[in-house]
Amino acid sequence: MSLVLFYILAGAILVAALMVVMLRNVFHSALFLVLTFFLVAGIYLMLGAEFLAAVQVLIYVGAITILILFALMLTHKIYSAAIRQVNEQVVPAAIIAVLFLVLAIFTVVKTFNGSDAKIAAHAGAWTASLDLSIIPAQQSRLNWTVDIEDNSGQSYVAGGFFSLIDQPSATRVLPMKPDPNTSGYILSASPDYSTIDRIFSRGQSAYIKVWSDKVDYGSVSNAVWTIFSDDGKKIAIKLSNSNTETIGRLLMSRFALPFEVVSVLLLASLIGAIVIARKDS
Amino acid sequence: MPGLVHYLVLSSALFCVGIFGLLTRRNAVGVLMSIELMFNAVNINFVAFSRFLSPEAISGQIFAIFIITIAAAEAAVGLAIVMLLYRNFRGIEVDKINFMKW
Repeated sequence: MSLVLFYILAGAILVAALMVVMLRNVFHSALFLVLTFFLVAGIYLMLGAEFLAAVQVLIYVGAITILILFALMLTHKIYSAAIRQVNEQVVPAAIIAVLFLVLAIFTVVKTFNGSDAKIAAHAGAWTASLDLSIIPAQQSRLNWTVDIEDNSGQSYVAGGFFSLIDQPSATRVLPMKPDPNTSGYILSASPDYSTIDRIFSRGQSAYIKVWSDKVDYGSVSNAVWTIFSDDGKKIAIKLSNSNTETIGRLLMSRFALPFEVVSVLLLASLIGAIVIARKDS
Repeated sequence: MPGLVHYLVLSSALFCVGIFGLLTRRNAVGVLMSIELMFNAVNINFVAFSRFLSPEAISGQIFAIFIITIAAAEAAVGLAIVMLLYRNFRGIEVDKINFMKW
């Protein structure tokens, strides 16, 4: 089913992209470019990157294409069909592009074909985070469970415990029912889930990520992460299945410096574009 | 369910379409549009690797966001240069703009 959708999207992307590079009328090319960007946003959705799909539509379709259309209209008459739009190196360029395509596909297939079995194939995950400083000071060992319930009433459960002490302790790992290969969880101290942690210090935040292929992602009615402390108190946190939150955390933590650098670059290009394009007085 | 190879082949094909456009377009704006196609191909690559090789760490998506930002900056500066060329040469055919060649 999703394979059919992929082939439709991929075919449409390639046709629209060929229209972009081959049409005589550059204005029509720009409109096909909009179509290409929209379809690529669909590919991002298939890959579970909702935030990136939204950014693609907002920035590429909303901003860059408008900029291109402005430039086409301001440099008027150059996009009329009467003017030849391709240079004389069409045949060599086509040969180079096809050769490069063959090389790339050969490399990709030779490197990655058959490796799909090792690749985690889950469609997405639910995540939540907890600021551990809200746990009472005398607590050192905390039990937790994750409950995911879909609309058909089926319920999926995972659980374990984590420690707020210095010594490592034995860990009880309960993989989610029913298949541990396509289901599981990561409890981590880092917002990008790059480490698996059982022991946390009190000032940290705990991040959990849960996934399962057995659950229809659209039909989940309730997904809760519950932490039990010894005195019977419960902290219940709703799991979210958006990656927007994770991206926001990463941009403000691990990627804070590149984020700032790229903002300076945007400022520089803004000033540069104004300086280049304005008329000399 | 499409696998990693599907996405990589799609992105290779899109990249090659971009290369073809880059080499054949006479219009500078057309060249910029081809470059945007190539950026999109690279982004598909990043997101696919992020999704299939390390789904718990979504660094690939962050890289794609940075690439989109760079693409926006590139489009702004590139189109400003196009405007300047049009003002000075009354045309933006890149094969006519060879005044830096000697």
